[in-house]
Amino acid sequence: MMRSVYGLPVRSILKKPLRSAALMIIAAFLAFSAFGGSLMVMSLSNGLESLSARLGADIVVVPYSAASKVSYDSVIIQGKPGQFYMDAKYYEEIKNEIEGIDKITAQFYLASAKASCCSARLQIIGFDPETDFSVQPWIAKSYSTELSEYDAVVGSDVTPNADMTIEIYGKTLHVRAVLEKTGTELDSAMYVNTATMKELILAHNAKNPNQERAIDPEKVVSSVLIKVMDGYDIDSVVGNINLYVRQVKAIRTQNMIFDVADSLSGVSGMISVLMAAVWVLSVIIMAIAFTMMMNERRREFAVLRVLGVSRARIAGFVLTENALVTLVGGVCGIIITVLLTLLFNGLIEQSIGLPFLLPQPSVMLLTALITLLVTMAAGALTSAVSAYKISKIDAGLVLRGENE
Amino acid sequence: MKIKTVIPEMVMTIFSLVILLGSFTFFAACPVSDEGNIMSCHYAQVMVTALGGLLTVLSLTALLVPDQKVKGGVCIAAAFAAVLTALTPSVLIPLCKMPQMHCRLALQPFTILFAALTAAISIIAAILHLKRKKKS
Amino acid sequence: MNLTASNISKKYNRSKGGANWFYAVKSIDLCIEAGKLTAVYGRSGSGKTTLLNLLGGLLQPSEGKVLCGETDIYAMPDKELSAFRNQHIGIVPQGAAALGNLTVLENVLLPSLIGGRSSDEQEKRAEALLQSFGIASLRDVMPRELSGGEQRRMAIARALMNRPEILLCDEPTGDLDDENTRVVLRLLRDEAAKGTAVLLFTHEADARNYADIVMKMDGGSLEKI
Repeated sequence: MMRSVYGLPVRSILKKPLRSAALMIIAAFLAFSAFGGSLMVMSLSNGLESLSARLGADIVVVPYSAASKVSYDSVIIQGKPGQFYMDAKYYEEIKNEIEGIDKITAQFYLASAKASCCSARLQIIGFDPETDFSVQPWIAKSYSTELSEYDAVVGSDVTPNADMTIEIYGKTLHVRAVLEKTGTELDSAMYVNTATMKELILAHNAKNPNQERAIDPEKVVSSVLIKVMDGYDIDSVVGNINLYVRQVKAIRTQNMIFDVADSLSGVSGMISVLMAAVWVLSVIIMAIAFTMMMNERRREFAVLRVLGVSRARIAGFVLTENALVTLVGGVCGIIITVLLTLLFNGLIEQSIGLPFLLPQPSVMLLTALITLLVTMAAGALTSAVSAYKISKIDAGLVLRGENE
Repeated sequence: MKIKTVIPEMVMTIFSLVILLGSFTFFAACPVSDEGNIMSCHYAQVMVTALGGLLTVLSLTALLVPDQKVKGGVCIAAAFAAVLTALTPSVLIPLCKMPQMHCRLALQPFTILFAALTAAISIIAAILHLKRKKKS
Repeated sequence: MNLTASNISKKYNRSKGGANWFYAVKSIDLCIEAGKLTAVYGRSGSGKTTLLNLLGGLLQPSEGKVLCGETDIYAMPDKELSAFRNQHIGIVPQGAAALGNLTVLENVLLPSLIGGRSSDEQEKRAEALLQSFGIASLRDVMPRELSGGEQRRMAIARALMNRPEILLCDEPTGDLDDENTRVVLRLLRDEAAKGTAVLLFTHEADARNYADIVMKMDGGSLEKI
């Protein structure tokens, strides 16, 4: 039993379930596109930020013969499994002969075909604990002790055995820590010190007797990372290395990140345009649907006028009904977005191929609340015109049938 | 048979077919390796395919049988089968450990999504049929 | 309380921007007395519904005043006028006038809910009204399941919910059979006998037999018969 006239909007919604559901679906769609789109853009931005923060080096030097720009770019920046090597003498050459170098360290890459935990390729990154300035600060957040031989620190997507070990090329490594998620393929990388890396390379050689040229771990490095001294121009140092050191290519890491940032801004831009288009269309559809529905109910509102409901209150009923519908629809849209994001987060990350890191739960909650408010505001806008028009109806005319 | 009254069963059938066909195509688990190693996620996939088949049969039965009580009962059975399907990857049969493996990226989320939707529609359909039976 | 209309008119402009006026109601003086049933006859297009709306506070007159007792209703802003109408003027509109989302009982209760009065007492009054109109058994039924006569009786019961001093009815027997017509006219007669000022717009020839005052409306003007 209805006990208050304020129950009228709720009763209208409940008695016409299909009609109300249609409006709720539009509102849900608005919320879904806004929230989903925002999450995507924020995740891409977070991914890029975590990438830039993680790199540390100003310059990366790679072998000239590295197959294409894509290979060293994606390995170093995004951690896609790959391996390439150059003579270690170039490391010495750069260290001794190029001016303006503050810090310099070498890294080794090995892309394993298989580890005990999975059949995906695992990227192994070996770093020199004595000279490294890029990886160790980041590892220190999860594990502050120095890595011993056969110790490893793994990315967030690598799942070690129950006893915190991983078998690779017949060697057992002890996993000391699991790193924070970066949203890149570095999440499926493993970090070991140089000594362990050399053992692994030898083991790799033993397992792959048919490879063209065995990798001699004492004589090669994969890349050289450089931090430039204050006061020196990074581009000049890059130029000098490229000019004076043969068979290598020096790249400014900023440029590598710019390429990723470019792709990212392209994708973000596309998402934003799509979101805007969906919104405009949905708001128009909602406005039309709501106006039509209200027009159909003119007689009902005319009766309320006759019974003594003021024009302002009638407008209030219309706005309240719309607000309830968009609230329920908006909440459903947000819940659906969260569920789909949680279910398909991994697949989205892989499909986009760019750094992708979901925001913190608190940020997601705030975004959800803002989305809900914006959706309800859009709903209010679509019903405002209807509310005004309905409140101005000539009750007598409507009840008479508007045909005298 | 009015179109309006069979919409839930039609939707159930479509979702069941998605589970059945998708489980060994676009959201299949990790492939069998060249060495012939079969990982447990493969068995999860096979189970999902089988349950997808069961769901399809139940949905079609609910669609074609005229009696409201029987329809309602079959929809309840379908709801239980759908819940079982959702639990199969990972809960009932373990998947690969690494999150970026295809079974975790595709098989698990798609199965959960479509199985949950099938369960929800089955419950709604069961309620509608049993209510109609009560009315008549 | 009497309802008095002094020289009220309602004119509409036939064409935009021009001065081609059409008078739906032309300079009418009318007093609906308490305790009497006034019946007004008129064909479609004679302006009777416009007159009812003017008298009920639903349509601003182009000229003239409408007084309920001593209160000039059009001197009030819409919020106040609506509250006044809810309290003092019961209107039975033409045709189907139920809220389809509410049960019969809820429809009858509606005026008291609008007036902000919701209590067991109000519910009892609504049930008593349904009883006196012979539709008590239909209290939980939805309006679309009612016959024409039952709907009309519900509309009258609703109009009387707040014990208005004035009752305005627009064709309350419009599409009813003879038996239901008699029932409705008798109910209105009884209301007038209780002291309510009742105005009835009708085509029904029988209504003369229930009315104290009979008038005719034609071309926007009113005259006593």
